[in-house]
Amino acid sequence: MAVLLDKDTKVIVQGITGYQGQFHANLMRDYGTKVVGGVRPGKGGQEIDGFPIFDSVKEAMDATGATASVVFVPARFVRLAAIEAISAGIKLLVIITEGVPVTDTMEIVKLVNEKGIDLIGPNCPGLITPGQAKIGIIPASIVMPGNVAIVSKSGTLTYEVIDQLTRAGMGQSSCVGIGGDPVKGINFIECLRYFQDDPATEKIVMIGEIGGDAEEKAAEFISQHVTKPVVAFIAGKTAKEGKTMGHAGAIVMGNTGTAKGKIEALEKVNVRVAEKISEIPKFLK
Amino acid sequence: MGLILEYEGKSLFGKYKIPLINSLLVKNAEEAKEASTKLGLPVAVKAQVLSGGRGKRGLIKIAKTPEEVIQHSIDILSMESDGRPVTHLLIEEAADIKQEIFISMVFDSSTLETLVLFSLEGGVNIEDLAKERPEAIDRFRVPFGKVSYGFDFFPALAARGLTGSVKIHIANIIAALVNMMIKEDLQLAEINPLVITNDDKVIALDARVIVDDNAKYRHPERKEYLSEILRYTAAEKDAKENDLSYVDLGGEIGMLSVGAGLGMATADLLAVFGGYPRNFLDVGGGADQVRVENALRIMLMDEGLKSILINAFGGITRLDDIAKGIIAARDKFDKLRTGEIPLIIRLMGTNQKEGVELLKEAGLIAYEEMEPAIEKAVLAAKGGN
Repeated sequence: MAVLLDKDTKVIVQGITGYQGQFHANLMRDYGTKVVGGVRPGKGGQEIDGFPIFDSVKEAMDATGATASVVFVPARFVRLAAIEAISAGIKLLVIITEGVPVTDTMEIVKLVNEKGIDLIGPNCPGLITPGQAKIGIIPASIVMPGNVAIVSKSGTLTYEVIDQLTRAGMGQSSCVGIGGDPVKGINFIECLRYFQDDPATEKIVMIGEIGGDAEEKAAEFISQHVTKPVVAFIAGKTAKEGKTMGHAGAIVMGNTGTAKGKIEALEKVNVRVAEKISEIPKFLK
Repeated sequence: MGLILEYEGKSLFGKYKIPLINSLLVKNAEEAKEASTKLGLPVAVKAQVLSGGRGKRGLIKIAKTPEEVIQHSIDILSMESDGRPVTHLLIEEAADIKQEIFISMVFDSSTLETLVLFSLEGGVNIEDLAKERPEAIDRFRVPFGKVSYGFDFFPALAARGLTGSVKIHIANIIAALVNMMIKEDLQLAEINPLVITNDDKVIALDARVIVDDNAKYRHPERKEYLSEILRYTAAEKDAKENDLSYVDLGGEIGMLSVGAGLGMATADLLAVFGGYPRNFLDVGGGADQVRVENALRIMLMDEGLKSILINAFGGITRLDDIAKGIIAARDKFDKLRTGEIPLIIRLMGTNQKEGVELLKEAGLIAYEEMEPAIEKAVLAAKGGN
């Protein structure tokens, strides 16, 4: 049992002939992920590092039975790549690319919501089910199978936390980097729901950062639906107060968005919030 | 964030037929006087700066005579805003105001809607109004992808007592802004005040607009914006041109990190150990040798720097690329070569072994864990070893 991804999930790579796409297709396969091919319009029928290349997502899915796709194309092509994957009937879509315009992401998120597709990202490191498979760029060397599930808004910070857990001998059941953009696919709440229902997960780590109100909403969700212990970390406590998004942003968001507000909301529902990353393993014991 | 200047926002508004009052952009008092002659007195002399609250800060003044135009222009052009001198003024016809209105909109990322805030009590501090009398503010929600029309807003405006052509003009302005949010890739569109004149014209007197920088390639004209120059310090501009992100923070430790989240956590942890970042350079995921070298070059331009902490956890980034950049910079820049600025390196993740090996051959050591490296950087900044 695993969340979103296991060793049998068949994955294609959109943008497999690019610098990042090719490199990470190989790393994913090395870890055991069933990377069954890639998409690069105009290069269908060719191969790269033993991966068959297809002109379209539809052709790739028909030929390989893939149900998941990971997008490595440049930001300005993400919208089209995502719409193509969604129309082809993909079940899990992971967008690693950063710098996607907000309106493009909104259009993509609207489509995945209508079709019930799990979207992770954009601007995210992807996910890994330790011991089984990974989609995206989380370094495989730092994970270890176990029972702690991690969900995080930040890429590199996720690695840091995974690494400290592994060093403390605490393996992971699933690590999901949901990405730091304001508009995104699945958020804390959806991940927390998956983790709560996942028999392989016994404890949960949630890594948030300043901005938005996803952590506050997650706190509310935890108080009602999550019985497994949750430890949190919030980045940006010392960050300078950012310029607010004009008056509308300030009025809509109210007190939310600050590290202080997020920490208070989480502590109120009995989530322990670590000050240092190194405290997370201790709090999980 | 892509805040743009009033006159740039107004030129966008003009494209969507939002009614404006005549104005001219000038750079000195002489030009201001000429502009006021063309426009006719009285005029408003308005500093073109990024921060709000211009009225309170003396950056907007009304001039009734040519002498006042010159005096106000000289005064405002000698002032500073956002740490830099005011360089441009907008000379604008003075409006004959009957009522001030507030309109502001952002995307609500959780509901995928455009959220419009509207109040007949504009001009004032709207955040105070929201606290004291929230009922004075209407909220309209438009689902993403829906094209707005003026008539969508007629009932709500009528409920606030607006009638006739004023109601229709305001409704059309709201609809135009909602459509602009998507077509122009905006993150904020705000008019405060939108005014009703004594002869019942509706005019946007101000424009506060934030554009989505990620969508700049769809709006190439924005590269030429004056706000592009004003938004960045020399170091920030240099960083931007080299595909880096730079933030000035005022402490003593230069912080180079891969990814903003780890950067923020690093800054938090520096504070725990009693240090504070001087600046933060995010080389971003997938950084190569050249970006790292540029990052260190830009960092070293800051005289207040006491030590540099490089915290790299490689996911998409390959640490041998980072190491090559560090070594190249060390060999190139005196402050690093002589050890005047101590360099504390922490590498973990993709191609770590290769990166650490390269550093070792070059006589540099790398920490594997974050906290000891951060502690060391704080100590080094204080002159310790």
